[in-house]
Amino acid sequence: MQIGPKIDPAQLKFRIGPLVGWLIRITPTCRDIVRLISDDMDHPLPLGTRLKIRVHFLICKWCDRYRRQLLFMRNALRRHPDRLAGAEPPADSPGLSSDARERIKRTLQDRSE
Amino acid sequence: MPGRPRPSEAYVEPRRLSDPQTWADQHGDYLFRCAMLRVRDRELAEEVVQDTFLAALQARGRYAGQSSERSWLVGIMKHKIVDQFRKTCREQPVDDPDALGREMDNDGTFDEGGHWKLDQTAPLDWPDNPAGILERKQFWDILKHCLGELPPKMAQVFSLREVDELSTEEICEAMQISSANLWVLLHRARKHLRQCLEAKQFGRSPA
Repeated sequence: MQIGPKIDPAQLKFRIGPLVGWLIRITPTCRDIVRLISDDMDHPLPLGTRLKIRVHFLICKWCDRYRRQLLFMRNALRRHPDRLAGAEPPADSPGLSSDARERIKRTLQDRSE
Repeated sequence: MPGRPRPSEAYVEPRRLSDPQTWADQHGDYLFRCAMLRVRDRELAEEVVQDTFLAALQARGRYAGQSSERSWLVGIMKHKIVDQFRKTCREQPVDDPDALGREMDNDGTFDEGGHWKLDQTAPLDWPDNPAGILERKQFWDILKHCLGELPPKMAQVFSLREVDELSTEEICEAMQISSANLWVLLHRARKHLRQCLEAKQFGRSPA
């Protein structure tokens, strides 16, 4: 676990080392936090757990980034649901086969009569 | 007569649906590609597209003209995809969802203490204004490629949740899995996609 690089690490260790050490001990590890960040996007977490995540962000900018990046992906997909399908079609499925297209046209014709 | 709006200004013609006979040509490829992203099987995807058109044919009296014809069809297809999952899950037992991508949890993202490896796996600082990225086709190609790397079931639940915005309850019901399993699948999918996107889009070579 490291702290943002702005302050001289040695000095920081001396000044708030005990506090950080204590925070590290009371918050879950990054491995657990990323799981909780994802869970938080799907169902409400207990207040205590949400607080632990917040406290963890104070001492870990990487988990904070992780959360913001997951939300970025979610917003990108939800705002542009069509872009993914409009992207490069995979070589093996460029579109409807001509058989399927004809079948669908015939079925639509039958049903609309 | 001044002051009185001409009929064309006062009354906006609601959008009308085009002839159903032209749907397959106009929207067939697009809907098929959307469906392939979810069901990942040519035949099933074709079935979904056909079911969508048939349902649309029946429901066309209820089309209010507020959305484009295509988004109206996409909305109908969302339900057809969920129906398709329901059917296939009944026909074939779901593989143990916990086994799906279990190896992804021990992929060396974290050290023994459960912390990021700072020079290898710790999330990079993505550019401040990634919104511009969304306009680039390359970004979507990469995202689609990354999604393709996931095990099929994991990619399916991810798309249902993050693209189609279904609730976790709806997904559990359609896919016949417990919510605990669903949360694990979603977590692994998000973790992998983030990592893949970072490697391919934001320039960190995969560890």
